[in-house]
Amino acid sequence: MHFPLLVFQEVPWQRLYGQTTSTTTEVRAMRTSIRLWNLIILLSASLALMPAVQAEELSRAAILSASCEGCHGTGGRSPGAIPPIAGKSAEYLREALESFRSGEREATVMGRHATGYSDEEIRQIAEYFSKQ
Amino acid sequence: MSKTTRRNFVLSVGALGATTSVLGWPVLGQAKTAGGRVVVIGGGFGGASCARYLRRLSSDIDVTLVERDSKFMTCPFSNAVLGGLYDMDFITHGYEALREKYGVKIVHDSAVDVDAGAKKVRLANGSSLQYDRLVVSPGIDLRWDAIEGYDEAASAAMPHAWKAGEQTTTLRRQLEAMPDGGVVVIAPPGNPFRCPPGPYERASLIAHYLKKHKPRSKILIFDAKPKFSKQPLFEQGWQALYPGMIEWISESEGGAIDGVDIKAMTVNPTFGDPQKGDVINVIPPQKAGMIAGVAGLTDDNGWCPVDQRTFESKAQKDIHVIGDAAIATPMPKSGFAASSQGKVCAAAIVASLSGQEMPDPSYVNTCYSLVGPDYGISVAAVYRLGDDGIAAVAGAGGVSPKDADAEFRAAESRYAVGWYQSITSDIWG
Repeated sequence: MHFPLLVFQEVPWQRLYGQTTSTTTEVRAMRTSIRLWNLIILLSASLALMPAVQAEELSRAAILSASCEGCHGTGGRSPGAIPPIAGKSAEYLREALESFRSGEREATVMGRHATGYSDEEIRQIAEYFSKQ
Repeated sequence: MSKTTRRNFVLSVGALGATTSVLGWPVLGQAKTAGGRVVVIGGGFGGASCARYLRRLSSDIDVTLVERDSKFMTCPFSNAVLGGLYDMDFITHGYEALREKYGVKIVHDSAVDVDAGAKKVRLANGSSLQYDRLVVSPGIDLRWDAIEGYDEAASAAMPHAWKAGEQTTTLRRQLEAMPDGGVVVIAPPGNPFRCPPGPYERASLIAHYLKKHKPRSKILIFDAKPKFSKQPLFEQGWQALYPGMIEWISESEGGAIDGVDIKAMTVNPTFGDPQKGDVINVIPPQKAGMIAGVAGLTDDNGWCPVDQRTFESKAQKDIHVIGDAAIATPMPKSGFAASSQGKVCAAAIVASLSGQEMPDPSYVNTCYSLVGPDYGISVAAVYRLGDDGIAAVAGAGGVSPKDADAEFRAAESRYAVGWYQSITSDIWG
């Protein structure tokens, strides 16, 4: 394991700022500011990763939606060919699931899934992914 | 300039693993936490899903994942490696995201014993892990005593390749070395076993490779069963893509084998003549992974009875069993089912440790099989808890339609790859 600040001292700051000549005082000031800047980046990067560790509520909606995440990705953020569903409106998702269920909208596998859920369950799933 | 900045940023983020402890977030060690301690044995589809969802549902719970290997190679898509569509890197996953993004402690070691009374797991290195709840997700072990002559040493000559890794590579090399006009024998076991459609997808993708490179070759499936998963769809696909190349011999036609001879390179059916093969893939009968037996979690058949609501073992309190090792019928022993069970089990443990009521569980299975690179088929099911345990929701699920056109099959082949990328990112990404 490396202590992170040791990593930051190796930053090629001259290239970073496109500057190769400076007075000693300027260099010191700049090094200090770069270290601070890096610390800020580090902290914001840490904070950006925090939500993943922050717990979600244990709910029926979360359990139902966990089934969808196997194909649509965590939070509905699919990395591949399966359509992503994160952040789509609850109305859109509810209508999509209902039309897959009725067969009105054609699909390869979604009809076989959607028929397994009640109106209320579809509402909860739609709500869950709309907030992702 | 921008390159340097990006590299610098990557270094900063890369240092986070160490930073978490510096800044007081998840620390190594086994301090007793307010939320309780959960140890998960096995970092496959079941165990890794459970560890991740435990941390998604509770930041207070201390989760330690015990996994022997530093990298996990998935059985899903290992048939595509055998068929030459992908390389091993595609099916290899690490544990960095679980550790760094989700704060799961990863211990790369083997669990060798469980003391259910003292609530301790003993590791091969001699140390112990204390738990409040234990999740056992060891996958399968192969029954080396089930087929005469087929022991672990024999699997070097006749690979099973039913655990992805070196065995997959061995089988692939044998296929590459086989002359045109050779015979490949695949011998699947009776039910229950890991991945019911797996042997038939394997036959399909090996046929894809042979058709391209060794078109005079044959594939014989010596099956211990009278029928198999997605059978009409597979047979239709074989007819369309590889006519005359794959022959399936059912149990009643002498397909069940009870012995092999690695010197003669033959399989011995329970009746009829021995069959010679240039490449022989024996998929032997299976049981729950070793630690499940050691911990006293298995029944007479070698699988683990569980409460299907929480996956708590019926034999030992505060120990849960998920995935292939558990009896979760009618859910199949599939990676998707294991992941689904891991999530339900995580919810049950979080509810129990935090004194909340567990919401009603819901489970799902979706299994794609590739008959060819542009020819996919699937089976799906939604499950709920009924009075007699897990039950498929009537009217939902089922297999791909028999009368689908080429575009439908092509779409399912793309979704098969998309499914793989999604589920592996949902577990290890």
